[in-house]
Amino acid sequence: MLKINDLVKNYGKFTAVDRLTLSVEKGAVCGFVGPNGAGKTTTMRIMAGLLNATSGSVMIDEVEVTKNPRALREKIGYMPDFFGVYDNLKVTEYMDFYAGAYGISYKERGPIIDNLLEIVDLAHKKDSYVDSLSRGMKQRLCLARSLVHDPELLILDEPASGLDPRARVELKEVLKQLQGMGKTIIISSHILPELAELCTEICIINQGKLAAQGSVQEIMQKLSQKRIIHVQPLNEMDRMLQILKEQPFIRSIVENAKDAEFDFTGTNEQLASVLKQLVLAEIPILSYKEKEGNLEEVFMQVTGGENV
Amino acid sequence: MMNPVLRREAITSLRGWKNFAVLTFYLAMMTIGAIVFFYTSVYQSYQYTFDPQSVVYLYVVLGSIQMALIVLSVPALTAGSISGERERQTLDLLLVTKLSPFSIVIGKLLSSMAFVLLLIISTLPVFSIVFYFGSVGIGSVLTLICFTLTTAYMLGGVSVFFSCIYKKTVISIMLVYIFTGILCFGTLLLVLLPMAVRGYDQLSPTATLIKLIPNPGVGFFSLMDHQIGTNILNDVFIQDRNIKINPFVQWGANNLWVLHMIFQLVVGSVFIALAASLINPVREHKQKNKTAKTKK
Repeated sequence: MLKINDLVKNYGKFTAVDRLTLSVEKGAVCGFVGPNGAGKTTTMRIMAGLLNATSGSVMIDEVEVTKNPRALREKIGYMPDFFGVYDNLKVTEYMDFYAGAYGISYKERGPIIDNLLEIVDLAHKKDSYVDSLSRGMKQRLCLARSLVHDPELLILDEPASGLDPRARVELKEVLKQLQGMGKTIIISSHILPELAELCTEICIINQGKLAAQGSVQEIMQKLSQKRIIHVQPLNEMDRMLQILKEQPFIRSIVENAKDAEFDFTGTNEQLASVLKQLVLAEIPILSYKEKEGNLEEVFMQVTGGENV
Repeated sequence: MMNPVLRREAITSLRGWKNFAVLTFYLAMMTIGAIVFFYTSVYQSYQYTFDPQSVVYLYVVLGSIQMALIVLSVPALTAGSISGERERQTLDLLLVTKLSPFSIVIGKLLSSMAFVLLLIISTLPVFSIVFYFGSVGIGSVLTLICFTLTTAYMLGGVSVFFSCIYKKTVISIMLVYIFTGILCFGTLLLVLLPMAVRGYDQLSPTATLIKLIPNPGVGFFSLMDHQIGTNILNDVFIQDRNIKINPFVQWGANNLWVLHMIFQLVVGSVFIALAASLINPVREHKQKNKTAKTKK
């Protein structure tokens, strides 16, 4: 769906995006993560056809964005990080205006607008003035606006920024619904745990470069220096610890009352072999699993500890 | 399908108080102009009577007030069109739609022009005083409306252009006023300075006429001169000269307002095209591509 190849964007001597290359498959939800000034918004603006790249290319459905921007705008729904609304315009009029701007005929607009307002849970506010809506409602309205022409690709720049926890949960629900509708979504956010839950893949961008790309698990595995394995026997804790201590790929073991955690440096096969040895030693194992890493920890590690 | 930008502007502008305030002020100024004219006409005559033949000058007074108000109000109405979208952070949302930059600019301009037309139409009852006394025909008033609209078109085009360049609306408004000042006084200086140095008789009528074409004040004067039949410009360019006058000057002296209207339409269109080019986000890329191809 989206292919970015060697993308460079310079502002004078400053390089905002530095030879960025990535691709996003159709139907994927890709989280775009990076510290402030990493080049996320610049990249997204180039994708949306609002900014020219210094060099490199952005292809959407095999078509370069700058070649036929008007045709590609039908495929893209863009929601910027900061946006305003018009005074003296009601919610339905706001949607009607953008529907008109996307060339949707008067007849088709009504049902589309009603449906989208239902999706973003703003149907009860259709006759309210846009200016009177809360921040969360405006965010959802802007999301509905970006969907008015039924785009295949949604580019959402920090859609949850400035929202309270309740509004964030509501927005997340809407995004899950869109994911279910098969939309390809590229979303940048500072709320990493939420991205981890929502996204099928994550792109970590730092200083304009792609630091890591893959599913949350893949990135964790690739970038986590430690693999912490949690093991819980039914009994025979001492014998289990003895076996674990004899394993060459286990660096340290933390013993708790009913379970233990060890730092493992080997491969998946070697990890499976450890379990096999425990089972062969007839130690009853209740639980044996890799402890899920923290995406924020990985992010801080990749970006050199810069603030999100 | 109606231009969505124009449609939205029409909805929002009529809901606000600002345009009603402008309309009220505009009508008040026109009415005050008519009252002052009648007052001075009556009280400046020896018998405190009113000469119906002088109503033709009421037409000139009303036309002048209208022109002055349009010149003052159009930049204020239009110079914030694009910068206002930037200030509200809505320009990006517009640019990602299927609307072309030209449609956005035209939508903005047409909404201002529609309001200007509303202002002009609302003053027709005041102009009807002139019809009542029968001094000026409806054709003349329609020509005056066309002239005023072309002025609004040019100033609107220039205002939208500056609005695309500068983020602050106030700067755009000031620059349009400076632009209008240059057209009004700069072109006059271009005529008056050589006249002061070389004398009136030494001036080339053709060059003088060309220099005065961009001047809105002279253009308006030429229209009034033509409509009420005073033929002052004809005397200045032709009658008081002892040199042979070419046909262009002969025609232009009586129809300078036509040349000025053509000038306004051309300048307005050029500035609109430039404005559309300025807000086009992929403009730079196209230029780069062209440069790259040329190098190859």
